[in-house]
Amino acid sequence: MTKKLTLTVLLLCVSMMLVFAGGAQEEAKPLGAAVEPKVVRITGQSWMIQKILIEEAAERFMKDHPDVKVEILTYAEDSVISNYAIDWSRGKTPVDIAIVQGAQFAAQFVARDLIYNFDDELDFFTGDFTRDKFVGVGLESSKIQGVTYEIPLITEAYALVINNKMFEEAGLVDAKGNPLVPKTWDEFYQFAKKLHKVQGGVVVQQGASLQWSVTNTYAMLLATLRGARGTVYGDDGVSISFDNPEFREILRIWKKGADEGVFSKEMYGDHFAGRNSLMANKLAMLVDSGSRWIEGASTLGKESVTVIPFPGADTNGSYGWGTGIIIPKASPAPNLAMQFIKEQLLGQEVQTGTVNQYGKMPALLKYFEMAEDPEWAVMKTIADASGAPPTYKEFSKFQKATPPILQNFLDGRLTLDQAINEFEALVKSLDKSTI
Amino acid sequence: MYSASVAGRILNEWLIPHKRSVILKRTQNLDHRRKVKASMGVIFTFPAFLFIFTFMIYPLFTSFYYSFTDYNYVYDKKPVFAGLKNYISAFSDKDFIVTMKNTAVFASSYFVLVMLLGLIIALMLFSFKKGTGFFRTCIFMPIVVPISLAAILFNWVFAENFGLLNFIIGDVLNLQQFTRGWLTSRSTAMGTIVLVTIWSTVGFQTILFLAGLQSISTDILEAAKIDGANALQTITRVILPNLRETYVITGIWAILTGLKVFVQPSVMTGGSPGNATRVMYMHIYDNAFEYFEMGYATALGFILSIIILIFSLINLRINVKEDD
Repeated sequence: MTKKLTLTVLLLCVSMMLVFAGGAQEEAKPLGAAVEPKVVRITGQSWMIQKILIEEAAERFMKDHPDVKVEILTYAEDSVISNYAIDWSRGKTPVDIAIVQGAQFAAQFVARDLIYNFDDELDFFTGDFTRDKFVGVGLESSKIQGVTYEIPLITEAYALVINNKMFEEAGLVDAKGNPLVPKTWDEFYQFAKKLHKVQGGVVVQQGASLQWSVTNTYAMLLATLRGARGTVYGDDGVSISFDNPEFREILRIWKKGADEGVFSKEMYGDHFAGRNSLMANKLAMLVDSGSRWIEGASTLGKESVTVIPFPGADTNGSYGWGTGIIIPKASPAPNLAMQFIKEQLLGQEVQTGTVNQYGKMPALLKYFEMAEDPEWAVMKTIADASGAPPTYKEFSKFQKATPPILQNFLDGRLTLDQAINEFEALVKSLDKSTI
Repeated sequence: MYSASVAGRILNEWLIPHKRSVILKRTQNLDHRRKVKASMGVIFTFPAFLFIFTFMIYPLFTSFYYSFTDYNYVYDKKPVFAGLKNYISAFSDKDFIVTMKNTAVFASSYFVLVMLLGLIIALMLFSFKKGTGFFRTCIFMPIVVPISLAAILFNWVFAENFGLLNFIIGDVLNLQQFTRGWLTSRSTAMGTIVLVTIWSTVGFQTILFLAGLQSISTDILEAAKIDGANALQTITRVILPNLRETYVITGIWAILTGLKVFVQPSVMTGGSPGNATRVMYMHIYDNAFEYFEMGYATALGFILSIIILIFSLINLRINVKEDD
């Protein structure tokens, strides 16, 4: 009897396991349900929900369409969205819209045909939303092999955020009192040296902080390469190339600045450290996302902080990217989702609100005119010239492996040649196919 | 005679069989009850069994299988059996070797410090009976702070340009020569992470030691006193040998905490400068959730588990004697 019962329990366990573990995979549905439900579920990280003003957009949408409900879910980090792929491949989804950072992140879903493309599948680019109306780099970062899988909501680009007052004190202003813009990296170093202040062995004013963090070094490298050469790629047009005279010179200058303490290493482990130093009024120059200037301005006042191009960024561009939305094919309401995106997320309130409040640049060009501060004209120039990151299948390995190489070089553990060779070897080892 | 034979007949023909049947019935009832009891036992343990099976046994065996496969869970449709490839690759993976060394440095320094400090603090709290409430609270307080939050807070304390520690050392104490980038310098980054972990966990270790100290019989302590043992002798010859069972628990806990370190370096340094503070779990996490290489990541996870098991067994071997 007991044996039988134990066996039954075991069988029950195994059958329940099978229920939990899987079952047959369902085919993804074609373009939503026959009659779409009146609910749109959107998910994003908490900063996205806050800075892209999702809650306000949802309220307005529900007010305009009383029969529709917008549900907002927050996800902690990117792997949560990666795990949605399991549901999506079974034709189920807890969300209709997911906010993600760039097509390079969306590539994993494209590989399994889990998300819509906005070109021929959803026919998004019509009316007020034709391609020419979008900021170039935002749209570029939304494409995989020329097909748009993400609609950008905000765009960002690397730039040089400076403390105006420190520039004035150091005499780094023109006749009109405008801050001088460093044209070369050597000039950038000279500026930093002038701005750097040490009293009794303690740094009281840091010359410059560059985004050498474990999370964003890749972006700093791509921004610098683009600014120096107008492209990040080598002769094959696919592989990121580090072995060139311009980048070697930049690395030499970075090392000199780091050795002298003029360039801070504070961002090694904490990519916010530079921004925090800026806000603490201890930093003169910060190479980071251009949106940092408004964060500094919110603390120090708009007259104290501004944004200018780092060497080459105004002519050759920088590293730019878009944060946008993807729609899973498992969504029963893709048309309602698109309506929400067009009416609200790409609407005036969200697009101008996010730039004026949080410094996240709009995805549509027309909203730059409605941005309150003149700095956005500078950022638009940089963004227009900028390039999106490659959509390599193994781009995350590039992101993870570049910081140790750069930091080992800056700390004197690698020579310049060794560092360049390691960068090159890394790029060579990556699977650079897109899907 | 008659009555005896009647009685015998009654006994033989009626009472004994009746008793037998009663006994048989009772035995059958007992058997039935036992069976019901056993069945009830199985039924009541079923939820726990299901939970353990679903969330522990099944994942354990599945992941063990995955560790022998090539499986990128985003790009591959299903795992492909690869034999020992992942285990062999691990030992030729330069990054993994570096993280093993870093984990060893962290775990060994953490183990020694947390065991010593936990014991010393527990001894102090055990010895001084009066006015220890405040100190107990101070020592136990960090336990309630989530380690991730503590790591973020200490990031601000140890920051180079705007950090509290450098402000105190440089501006308040005027000892500028001692200010530095605590988390950006290779000579101090790992030590700083160890210190934060000690701050966060020493309270728990102290509780365990204190419980061990309180379980020592007062007779033994009094006997030592009568025999003329001074404080140091009481500690070294009476108290410490009697804490052997506590060492087993505290030791295993410290080994686990040391080798499983992940949150503190992830939040405080992200493995920087260079790879100086990158630990095994960070490498496993990246392979699993950044590169989606679940097969390789599970193999690395099992290697770490084996290392933890070996050190835990060594700890047991040292601290548990046969007569225990």
